[in-house]
Amino acid sequence: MSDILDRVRAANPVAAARGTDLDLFRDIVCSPGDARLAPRRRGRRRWVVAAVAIALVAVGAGAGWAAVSQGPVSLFRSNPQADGSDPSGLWGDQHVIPSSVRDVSAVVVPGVGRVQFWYGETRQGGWCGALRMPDGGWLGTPGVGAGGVVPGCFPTREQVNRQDQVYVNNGFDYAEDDVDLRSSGGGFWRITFGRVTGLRDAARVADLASGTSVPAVDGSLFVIALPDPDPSAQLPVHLVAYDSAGRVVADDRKALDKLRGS
Amino acid sequence: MHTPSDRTPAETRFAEVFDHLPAVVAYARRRGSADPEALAAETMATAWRRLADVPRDEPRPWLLATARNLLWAEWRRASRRRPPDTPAVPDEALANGIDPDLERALLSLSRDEREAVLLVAWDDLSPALAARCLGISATAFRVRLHRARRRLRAALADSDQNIEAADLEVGHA
Repeated sequence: MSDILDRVRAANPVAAARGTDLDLFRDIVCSPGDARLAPRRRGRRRWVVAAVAIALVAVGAGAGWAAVSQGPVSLFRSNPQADGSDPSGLWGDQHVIPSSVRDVSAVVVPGVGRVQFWYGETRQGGWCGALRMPDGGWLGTPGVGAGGVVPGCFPTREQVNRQDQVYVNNGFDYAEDDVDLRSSGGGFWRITFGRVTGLRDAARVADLASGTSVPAVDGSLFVIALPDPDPSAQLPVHLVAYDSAGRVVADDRKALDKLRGS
Repeated sequence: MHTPSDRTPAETRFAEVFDHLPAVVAYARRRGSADPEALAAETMATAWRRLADVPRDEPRPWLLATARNLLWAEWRRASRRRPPDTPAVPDEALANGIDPDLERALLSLSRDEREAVLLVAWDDLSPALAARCLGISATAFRVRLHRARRRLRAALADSDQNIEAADLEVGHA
């Protein structure tokens, strides 16, 4: 029966190429502000992908703080996200405006309870975000959660791009933290939170991959919890924001400029 | 330039995984991805994010399994974008340019059977590695591959008979 496999082999439509792609390697492993990112080529589509990787990986690098019992203003003031960053750089130089800090919304995670999304703005134009567990702990701090970002203050994509063209500006600035309840019979949850600055005010944000949808608060802010049946694989996430008339105002797979023109 | 001497230990480890980028691009292209390079880039970004999960001895099964999940997501999105009055798109596709009879025969297999055949024949995985890619035991994979070969041969035989019959009709005309 090997003749059948031979026939399939002979019909292989694509020979595996050789070689590597150092630009892509760099896009994936470097953090925003990393000197290795400059100079960059522009207008490459795969930056969309790299941006996601950077957003999820690089911001998890901070460590060494005592945030569990802090209040939200204190948490954002101490900005653990910036630990280890250049104090004058984009990540280090984000100072929260205390009056902007608020409890925006919450999601109920089965087995955990109500997880609050706290939000704030910075004097530099960035944003601050953190997820608070029902017991007061902050997701992403040591011992709390199963991974994801360190809470604190972040530059926006626009800010990063002004310094170095890293991101495709799709209107979304968001982060993710994870909760793993599998050892106690529950599930693995990815909680994505952030803000959308789209073509118009957002009324709703949906993940098209899972069909989950949540209201947007203040025309911009959202928190969405997605069950992940297989954390070892890549859970596809496709965020789209809609206005009150159901029109798309941002799509995390499209640059805003392209969305505006479509 | 990002040279090996600049790299952190994690980056050095990831570089070994990243060496398989061409295989992932080829995988995505063979399966008919609309954007094989972007899909491979996303696969590698996932590998970096979850480097601890990527097997050290042989990362290809993990990478191709991740790429396959992304492909399914791509197909689901394509289905969702389909206007309501157009025919359904197949849930899977293959690269253009394949012998139409063989393509029909391959698409007549179940998704799992087809993937078993293609991982071995096109992606050059050993049966043991292909089993890891599919998350099944080596024994289960051998059974699946055996069934797939049998069904594929039957499908191709039907196709050959149809061609012969058509030739005969043309001969009588």
